[in-house]
Amino acid sequence: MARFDQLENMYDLGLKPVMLRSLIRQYLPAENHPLNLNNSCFELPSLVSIVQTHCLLSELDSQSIDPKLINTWKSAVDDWLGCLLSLLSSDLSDKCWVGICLLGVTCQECSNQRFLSSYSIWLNKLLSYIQPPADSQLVKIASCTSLADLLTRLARFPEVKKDGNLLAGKLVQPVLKLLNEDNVEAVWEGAANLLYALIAFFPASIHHYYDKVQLMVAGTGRSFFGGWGVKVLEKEDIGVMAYFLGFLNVEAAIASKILSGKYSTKTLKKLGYCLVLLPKAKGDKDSWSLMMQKFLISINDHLNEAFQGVEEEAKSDEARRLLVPPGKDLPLPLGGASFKGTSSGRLPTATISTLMFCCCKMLTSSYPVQVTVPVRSMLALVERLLRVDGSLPHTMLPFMTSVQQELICSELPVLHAYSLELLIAIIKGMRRQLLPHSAYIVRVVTRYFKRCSLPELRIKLYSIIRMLLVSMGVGIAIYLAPDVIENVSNDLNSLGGEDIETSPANTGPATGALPQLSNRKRKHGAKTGSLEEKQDAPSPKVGESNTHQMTPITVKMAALDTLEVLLTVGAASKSESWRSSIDSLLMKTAINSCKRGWGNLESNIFLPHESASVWADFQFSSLRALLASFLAPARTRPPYLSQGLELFRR
Amino acid sequence: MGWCEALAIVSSKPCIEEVDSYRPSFILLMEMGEKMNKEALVVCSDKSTGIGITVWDLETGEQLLHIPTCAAAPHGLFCLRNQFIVASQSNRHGSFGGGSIFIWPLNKPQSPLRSYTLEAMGPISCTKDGLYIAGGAPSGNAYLWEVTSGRLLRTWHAHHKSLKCMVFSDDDSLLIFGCTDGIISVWSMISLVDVEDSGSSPSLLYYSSEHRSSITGLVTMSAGARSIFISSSLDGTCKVWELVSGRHLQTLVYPMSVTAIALHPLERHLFSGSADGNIFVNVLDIGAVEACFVTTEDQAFVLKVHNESITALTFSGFHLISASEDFTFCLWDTINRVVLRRFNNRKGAVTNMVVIKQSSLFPISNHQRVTHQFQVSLLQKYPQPSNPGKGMATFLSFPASHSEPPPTHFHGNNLLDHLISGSE
Repeated sequence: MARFDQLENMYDLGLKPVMLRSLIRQYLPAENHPLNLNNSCFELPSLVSIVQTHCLLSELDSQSIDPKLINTWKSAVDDWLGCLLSLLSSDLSDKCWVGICLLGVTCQECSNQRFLSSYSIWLNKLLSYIQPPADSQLVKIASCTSLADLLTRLARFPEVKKDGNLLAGKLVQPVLKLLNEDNVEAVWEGAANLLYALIAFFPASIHHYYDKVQLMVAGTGRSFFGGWGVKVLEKEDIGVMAYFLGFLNVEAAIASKILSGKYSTKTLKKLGYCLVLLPKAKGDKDSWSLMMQKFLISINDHLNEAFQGVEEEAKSDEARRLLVPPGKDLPLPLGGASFKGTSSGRLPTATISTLMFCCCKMLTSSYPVQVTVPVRSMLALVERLLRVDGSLPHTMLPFMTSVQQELICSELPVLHAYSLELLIAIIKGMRRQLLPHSAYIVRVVTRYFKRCSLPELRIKLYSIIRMLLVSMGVGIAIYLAPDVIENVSNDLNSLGGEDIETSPANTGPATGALPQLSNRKRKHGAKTGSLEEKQDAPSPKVGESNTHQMTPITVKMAALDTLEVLLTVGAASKSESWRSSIDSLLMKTAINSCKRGWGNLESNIFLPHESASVWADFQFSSLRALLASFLAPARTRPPYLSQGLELFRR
Repeated sequence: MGWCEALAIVSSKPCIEEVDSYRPSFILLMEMGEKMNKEALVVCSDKSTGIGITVWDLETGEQLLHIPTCAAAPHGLFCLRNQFIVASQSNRHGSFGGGSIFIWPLNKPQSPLRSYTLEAMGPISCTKDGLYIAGGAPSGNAYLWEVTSGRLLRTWHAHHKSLKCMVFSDDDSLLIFGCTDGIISVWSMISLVDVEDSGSSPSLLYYSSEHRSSITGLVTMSAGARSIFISSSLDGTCKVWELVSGRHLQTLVYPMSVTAIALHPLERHLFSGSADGNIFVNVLDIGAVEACFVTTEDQAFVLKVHNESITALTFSGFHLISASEDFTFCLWDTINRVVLRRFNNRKGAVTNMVVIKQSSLFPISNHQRVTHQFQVSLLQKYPQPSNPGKGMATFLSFPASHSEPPPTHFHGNNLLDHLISGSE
């Protein structure tokens, strides 16, 4: 045993094996001792954190280290693993669970050498816990996570790629089984994690599997319809094939979950992400396009149902035409199951938004080969969604009930937010290649600007405009400037900022509403009250004087930032008509923002912390925009220069 | 169960050899490293196709490459994405009323892409990102192609007289034409290439007819936050314009016709080549007020070596290169105003010069083939009706981000998540 007085300090390597051994003694229950799950729930995080901070499992190996120490350390880690394996083989599911969790940590922390020598044993061990005899949900989840950790580490060693693919291939089927047959959301989330790691790091494993499935499907069709006499299928064969056909398709498994739209957004997004990665497993041009087309068609089908009554029939036909060019075959629907429509009573918002999230991810994640992006149909989708505002076209009036209208109105903000996200993704994905479509985008954006009044959506819209300005330069500034100026002026001139500035008591409701809103967006599964919330947003305390619409400070910030970009990019663009009014507006805003002193001053301790920081950001934005207005070229000397310099001097 | 498992194993066995095509071969890079940053000069003439394109090493004066059969009109040669040389062919099919644009891959110059156009092309130009090519014809018609698909996006009657030169604005969003009658026009790319072509937004931003004779050169620059372009003309002036508004800012008057201009990379000095072979150097001082400066020959800022009209000017690093009708072209040290090297193109006067990286000449081995490259297609002769259902071929995200980190919500061990869900 090492003597403690010999240790130099906390960095002494000699400390590590000793610490590890005492951790084993202290935390890991011996074979015949029961485990107190409640205790370990609290102890486990601290155990993990000690292991991680001190790199207790790393078994540093270098010339300078005393070989004796190396041996001691090695045997300590051996013991640690021995303990874990004995936990794993325990009959008690809670012990087993602890072992699995810690094995996951070990996969991340142990030395390369140890990892390479034992990963296949660990993988097989863990695999057994996600297969049928296993029944504890907790154990399944933990194994999925630990397996994901293992695969992530394994992917870093190119030399074992082949073996990794082989092993990973074994996991595909059990994971899909988890997705298909288990009915606990948390398990799916775990399975999604593992599936993600599989597709991301060992695409070949899925790939071979995928092909095999398709081959089988094709084969089945041939033997069923082609030659009756060729081979009479055995009953088991049919069973096996049905199994393949019905359940084992990765896409189908995930898609069915998403299409059901029943689960939390987080789970749905994770599953969606796996679906997005799936074409990458094959990595060819057509898989990507096919998947994208499937997404779009599915979104379209759902929208057709959701928007019945609030948009003209012709719109949905048009969208369809764009998606499936005449003369082309319709691809198999997403997940292989045709759209059946959802049970009435609720809108398929969760499904639509997850699918749109998938489209966004398809566009913004990298892909190995050049792909064909259906820009037009995506833009048409965005436009279609943004066009619907819950008002009823005249022809539809008799067919809609107020309940239906209310339903759709309550869900629309979420859909609008996602279509703006999609637009952002399109701009990010296509970059300069979007040029032939930018005039169309300008039309969509400016039209929507006039009607969009939810703060959260306006902020998004402003950020889209900033992206367009930055990526397309002065050419697009010419088209955007009039609308931007009009909207920015409205936003900055409206009440809100001044109110906050004169009566600090109002800061809370006005600024606090937004973060809340954006949170709400993410968990809209339950009930989205964005519309109602918007009506609540003007604080009742302001009450009678509320003739203008209040503009939250965050929207003003977005407006200022946009103005700053516009001034920098396109100030020279025929700006004479608006420059002077904008310059004075910016000066006014900057003065107002500075009246209350600096945002980061201690005197603000009476305000809630968040509002103070928001205020500081607002000040910063307004000063930056003011600076841009001074620097932007103009024919005359900036009229408010001296006033502005005074502000900056302070 | 066992059967399925066996299948899974079997199916994952025939593993495809995964060649990591993104990993550059470092040995090759080391060998080439020296030549990597060196520049080469591509020159060609408009006189006879026999002269062809020659690539010169500027430092050693060696001839690096010769591509036969090319004669490009002035402003009819450019380098696309550092990988291709594009040249409009003058006199080639003129008699048939058609023209052609040739695209040579620099590392494989034996096999050019030959695109045939409706009219003979004079000046051509491409956007900085290499996505679009514009061409102008003697009839005053202009053409705009998408390089990746080769689609002819737009043809329109831009001028009544022959187009002389064209240039894209620095942010590629505007297109500037100079015409033989001295008219300059500025067009918005966004509405030029608008797929819907609703006609709601006019493509022509403005035009100006202040020059009294043919435009010979256009360059863009930025002064502060302001975008500017400078035009040179045979009327013996250079004019400075505000790009977006078209406001005339300054006129530089010379004793002779200005036949070529170039901006120093630092954008402080303007070099104007004149019809008598002199090159004038002006310090650019662009103020808010309209101004007129007269440049005379007895000033110190004149580079004299050529005895015939200057045909082209360009920069390699901080060295000026001038080409003249006298069949020579010179590399200048502009600080000491001396000629560093004089090249002789015996076969004909150089009318086009483009500076490229020498590295783009090396044949690319399979190992270091960059897969994230846009393809270059044959430029179409006729506009085709746009197919709304058809998508746009593209690469998603830059090659640099190939090994993107997993999305944040998948990061790390979700142990704690499960601990929380476990204790509930």
